[in-house]
Amino acid sequence: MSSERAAPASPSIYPGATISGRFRIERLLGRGSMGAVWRARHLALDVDVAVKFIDGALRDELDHRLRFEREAQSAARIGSQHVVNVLDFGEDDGRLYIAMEYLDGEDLGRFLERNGRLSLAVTARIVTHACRGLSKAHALGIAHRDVKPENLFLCGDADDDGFVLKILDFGVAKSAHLESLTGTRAGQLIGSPAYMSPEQARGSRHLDGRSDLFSLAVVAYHCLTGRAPFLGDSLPDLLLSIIGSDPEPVSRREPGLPLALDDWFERALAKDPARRFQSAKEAGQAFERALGERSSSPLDLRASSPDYATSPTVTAQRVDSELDEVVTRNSSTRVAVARPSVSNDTVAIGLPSVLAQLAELSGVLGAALVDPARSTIAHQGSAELPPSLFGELAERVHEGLRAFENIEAARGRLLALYFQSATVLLRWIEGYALVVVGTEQVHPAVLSVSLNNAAAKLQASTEQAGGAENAFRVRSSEPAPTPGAVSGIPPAPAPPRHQRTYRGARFR
Amino acid sequence: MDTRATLESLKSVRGVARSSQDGEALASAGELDADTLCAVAAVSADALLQVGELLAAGSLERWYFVSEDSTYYVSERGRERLVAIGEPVRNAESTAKALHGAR
Repeated sequence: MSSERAAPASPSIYPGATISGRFRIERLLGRGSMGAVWRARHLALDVDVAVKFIDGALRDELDHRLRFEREAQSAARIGSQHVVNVLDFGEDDGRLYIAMEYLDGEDLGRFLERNGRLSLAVTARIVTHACRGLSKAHALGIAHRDVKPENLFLCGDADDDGFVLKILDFGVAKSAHLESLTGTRAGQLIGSPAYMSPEQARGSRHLDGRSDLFSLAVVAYHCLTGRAPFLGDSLPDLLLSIIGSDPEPVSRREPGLPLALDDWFERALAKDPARRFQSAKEAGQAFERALGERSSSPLDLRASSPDYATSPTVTAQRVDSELDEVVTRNSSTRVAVARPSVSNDTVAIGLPSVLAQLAELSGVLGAALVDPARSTIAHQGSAELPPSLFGELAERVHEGLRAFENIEAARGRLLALYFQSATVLLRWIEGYALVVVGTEQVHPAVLSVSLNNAAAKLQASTEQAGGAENAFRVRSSEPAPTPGAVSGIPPAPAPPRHQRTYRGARFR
Repeated sequence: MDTRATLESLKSVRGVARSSQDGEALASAGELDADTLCAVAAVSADALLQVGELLAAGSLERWYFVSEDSTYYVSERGRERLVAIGEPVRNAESTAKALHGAR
């Protein structure tokens, strides 16, 4: 009689085990979101290394495997003394691992726990070193996407200011090249909420280095004041705070701090990426200037400083300013966007960019502006939602709300409709309807705040242009619309209602 | 469904009513004209259901509507619907969600 024992799902890793014939495991250092990190000895070089293993349960999931590989490749390419050095990456008996230099010290999260808040000098060193590391990463088109105290390691003795900061965990980093292969799924929030940028909090799929700089500013704020600038009792509250509220100036929280730091934080924590520092170098140098003197170790940011406004990782954030075109990364479709203007024959100031930003939110399928005659003036999003559909939606909704009261006389109304598999939000601007259609996965609170903000922007543009009629008038020479792109052409006359169907729209 | 308990559990809401699908007020609590509001909600829901049909989005679950003076919340519950009226707010989502989750 024989008995069979099931093989363990993942071979155990234990002190004394040898990995790929090169490393001998010594002791567990800690656990992260994706796996455990062990201290090990590099047998050939006879030096200590840190070996990170992906969890057995995650190993076979393509998404996690790709992220693990991405961490190794991203960190290895950067080659900065302020980014942890990757020595090796491989698979041993079914165990995926990354071997990194062994760091002696503690992460900033623990250091903050012990100290509450930090001195200006220590904070300046943290910001300076982090900017150096990020500058090199950004120059390669790599955004970290999870800058937080736990991922900033202080090597050496942090208590006497003699530390060297190294950035850890490029596990959620994204490069322009890899994005097309392993893009974040719609609705998936990656990063640590308290340190997220507004575009991360909205679930944007297109993040660049300016998102990292926002997160670094949140870390700096935490260091100087002992608490993060954005707080909330729940995750939605926190995300809404990041998206919509302005933090208290640091000099008010800590009266001894230079007033010039308030200006630095105002810019570093701007909601609009275009209003932030445009490079890590610029952020680091501005921080030094805000302190009133240069440090003894001036910033050495010789890596080419990426201009995020032209970097390939930049997408929808650009369209909010004076730019005349934007590339939608997921479809590689070039989208024509009108230059802002107040002339009477021009599409509303900022209208295409407002629609682009709404359509870019995670879980959103399309956004459009509909005129009082229920014609779609401009739209952006999935080709499965034709322009005329938005006008039809607005018409049905208008019919529905007429029973409530005279909605023609009112301004600034918001309607949110939740179906089993879809979300529809409408906001009126002087009789025009701003319409957003999303999946059931769209974050409702974030979407309604985004829609209100978009409506406020358009409202301001109509005031500039002397009314919605002028602001939203369509230029007759607009190019023909591209499927899935912003269009400025009113739709062709719609066929009779009974001939129309949009059953092809998919929401799951 | 205890409309009084629901009313007390929702901040920024001043009245709650239970309605049949046809718009008949079944119970209410707080400051609202339940008969009118339930009837109007029923008429409105018919048109709003067409939005779902256009999108093939499944049944309507809940909706809210913010006007200059008030916010109207409606939670569709099969043969009944729950209707509430409250203050105009910038972000009505949390109240709408709480009403929909009320038992």
